[in-house]
Amino acid sequence: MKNILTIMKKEFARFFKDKRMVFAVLILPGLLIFLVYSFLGTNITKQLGEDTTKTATVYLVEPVPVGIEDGLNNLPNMEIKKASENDKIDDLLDKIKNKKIDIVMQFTTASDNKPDISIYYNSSNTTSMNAYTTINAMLEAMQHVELFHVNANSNTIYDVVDQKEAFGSIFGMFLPFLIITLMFSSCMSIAPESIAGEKDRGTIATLLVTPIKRSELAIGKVLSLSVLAMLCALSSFIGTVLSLPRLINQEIVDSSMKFEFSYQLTDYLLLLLIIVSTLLVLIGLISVISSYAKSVKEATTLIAPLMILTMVIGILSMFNTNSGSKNVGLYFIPIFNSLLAMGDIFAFNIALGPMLITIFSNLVYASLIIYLVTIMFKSEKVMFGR
Amino acid sequence: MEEVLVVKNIKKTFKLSKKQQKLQGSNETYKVAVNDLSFNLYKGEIYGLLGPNGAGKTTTLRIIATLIKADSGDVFVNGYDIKKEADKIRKCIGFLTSDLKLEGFFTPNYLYDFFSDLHNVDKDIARTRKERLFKKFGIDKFAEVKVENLSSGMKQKVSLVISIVHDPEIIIFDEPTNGLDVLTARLVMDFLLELKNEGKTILLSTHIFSLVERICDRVGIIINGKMVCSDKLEELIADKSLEDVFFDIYKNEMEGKDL
Ligand SMILES: Nc1ncnc2c1ncn2[C@@H]1O[C@H](COP(=O)(O)OP(=O)(O)OP(=O)(O)O)[C@@H](O)[C@H]1O
Ligand SMILES: [Mg+2]
Repeated sequence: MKNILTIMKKEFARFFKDKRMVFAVLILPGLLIFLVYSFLGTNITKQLGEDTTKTATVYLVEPVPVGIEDGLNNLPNMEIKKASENDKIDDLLDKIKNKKIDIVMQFTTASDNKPDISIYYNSSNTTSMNAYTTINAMLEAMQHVELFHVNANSNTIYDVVDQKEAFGSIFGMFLPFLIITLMFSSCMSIAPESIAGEKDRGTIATLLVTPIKRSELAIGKVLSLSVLAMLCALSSFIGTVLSLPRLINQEIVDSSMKFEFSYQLTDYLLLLLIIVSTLLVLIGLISVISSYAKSVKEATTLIAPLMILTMVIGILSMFNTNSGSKNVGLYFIPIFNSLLAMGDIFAFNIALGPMLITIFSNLVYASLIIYLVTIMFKSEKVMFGR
Repeated sequence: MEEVLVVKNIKKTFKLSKKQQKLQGSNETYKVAVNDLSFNLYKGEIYGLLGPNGAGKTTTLRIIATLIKADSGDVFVNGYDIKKEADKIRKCIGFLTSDLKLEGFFTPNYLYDFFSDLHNVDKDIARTRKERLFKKFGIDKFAEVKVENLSSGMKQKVSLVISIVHDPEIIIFDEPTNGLDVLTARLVMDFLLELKNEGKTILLSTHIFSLVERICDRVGIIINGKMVCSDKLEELIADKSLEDVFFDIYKNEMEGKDL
């Protein structure tokens, strides 16, 4: 135990006493991300990965002006329903918010005797948005400007989006991928140097003639590298958060003036646990490759496929985040499970089971990997093979 | 006399990669580096290993220092079996060889403390020992200079000092004076004698005959991985210089092979 701490202390000293290293690994990534995202200010499309051909449920609150109903019935992918007398408008709006239904249309007569059409929709629901666009196009074709007012009351909020949810689903889709990418590149920037580099330079061999156990050396290395990678990922994360206002779809930021950042402390804690357990797995994997490689260069080359795999898994998970309940088995798949779990946290969709499965399975994988690193450190072929 | 090191019939074969075969200009897939080699060390003596380049000296020392494993044969250090109690052996030996490097980023001062910690040396004892050794080898002036910025001789001295932070009973030095100037080589030589007087047992390999003649009690000559001669220095150089003895033995060995 004491030896593990001694090794960790040395690894930290190696890192923090090196100003260039601190700048390159801790400060630069966050700074770059902040600058790039701030200047690009891209709109992240909300529709990413959602089904666009789903049938929209449209409720009409009577009385419905003649002509309009016929027009609606001719639109594709739309199921038109009449609201019964018992349906209160507020209940219907709640259903839109919860994505149970997609559109509510209400018709009243305005002071100038033109019909006043209110179309309620939910901008965080793709089906709703598509239907809203289609209906608007239809009314346009009917030259509604002369015939009726559409969503004309400036005091009414027609977009009944749940801000928290809309924000969360974008976060849930996009951020996990970003975080895993940042974590991976953090691990990449320190582990090969610390393991393959030391092997190559013959400095690990000097440790191997001391009474320290190979397992202590392996654990000390992996743990200290994880902490450093964590700090590095944190820097990237701060950069991301600071640039978020420009990163996220402008519309949402505008309409979320009243929106408060409503993640709870427990959300952050869970996120931290997920991130830490994932980092252990990632650092472990990269350590295994770095132990096997004979030089930093070889390690980097060998890690590239793993990186591509991680990216692919990350992209796959983006299409998986918003699809409601998921198979619990998926939370046993390393890396993929972390992406799903983070997605759930950001989308305010936390179920304890999958979270615990993710954290514990990651810890189990990490232990196995560290054990593998230990075996490799014991192997003469790995440590001294020419 | 007490035997502190017993090496019995050790053999070490390296598998050669394609690249290594090309480098060595042969098609052999194996290289027998150490071949059925035996010798022993008595407490308090200095034993010198001599042999041409590639004879297997460093390989032998690395096996004894638990860095690599022999394919067959036995090694006992202070009675500990290397196959079962390598960790105990590591506690009682100090090993210096040119391919054990120090991290260039750190200072001698930091590295000394770090290795003292790993060897579990008491803090106070470590401090006085560090002061004494640093002073003796002139490292004190460079104690806070990063190792990567030191001259190669100074690096070598730092490596030497750090290999014995734990005041080991058995000291194994592979070419300790290699690359040192005459003055420093002399300093190391005197230091080895000093250690001997403290009762330490020393095993060293070298190409420098004068060093062996001056300080070794016994000499072993390794050729092609085999111990071809292991004897008291006095007896070997009774009527010839050590260099001549070495040449004769080498010539004999090579002729025997050709025939
Ligand atoms: N890891 C290895 N892989 C392959 N061959 C090796 C390895 N280590 C040593 N050898 C070979 O084993 C033989 C003995 O090497 P060794 O380093 O023990 O010789 P040495 O007596 O120390 O030589 P020198 O005087 O040059 O230091 C050499 O032919 C060397 O090329
Ligand atoms: Mg050698």
